[in-house]
Amino acid sequence: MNLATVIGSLWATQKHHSFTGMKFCVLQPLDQNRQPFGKPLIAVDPDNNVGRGETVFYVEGGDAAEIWENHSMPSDATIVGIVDSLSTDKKGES
Amino acid sequence: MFLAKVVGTVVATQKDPKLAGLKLLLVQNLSLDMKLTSSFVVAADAVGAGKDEVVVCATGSSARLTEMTEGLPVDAVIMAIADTLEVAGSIVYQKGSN
Repeated sequence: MNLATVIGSLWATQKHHSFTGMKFCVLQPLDQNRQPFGKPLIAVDPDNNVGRGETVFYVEGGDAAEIWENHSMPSDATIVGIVDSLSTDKKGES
Repeated sequence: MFLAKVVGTVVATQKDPKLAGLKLLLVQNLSLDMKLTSSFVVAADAVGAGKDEVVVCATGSSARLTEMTEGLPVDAVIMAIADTLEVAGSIVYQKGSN
């Protein structure tokens, strides 16, 4: 899983039916110091509860497709959690 | 997933027999300021996308999880057509407005 900041949203009415009721977010991946790292990507927000500016973690690859049993979706990046706080040995942050 | 623009159709008569009837499109990656980048990919179409539309593509084994691509030798699929893209509080793309 990777950390990212939500920097935007994408709306799509025409999408694969397995995404019904979900929205897409634009994510900027972060490094361990919460600095932008790598290229932005689009991820599914399956619970529709993520807002811009929040730090989230997401799964990539084939694992992103089956976060729920009996519901597979053609997604290669899926948000699975919202970060409340994060601390490292180097410096504690919240 | 990545954002891309449909720039063409791919026609192939000699291909894996399993791919018969599958719609293949040539998509070009877009950056978040809606500029075309230099990378292209051939993607299967699961949502009925057309030329010049802005689409969202999934890659890897996830691309095989639509009815159209299940069990096929495919690693990129168009799974959504973008209506609106908002980045950092401003609308950078609105379907039909440009």
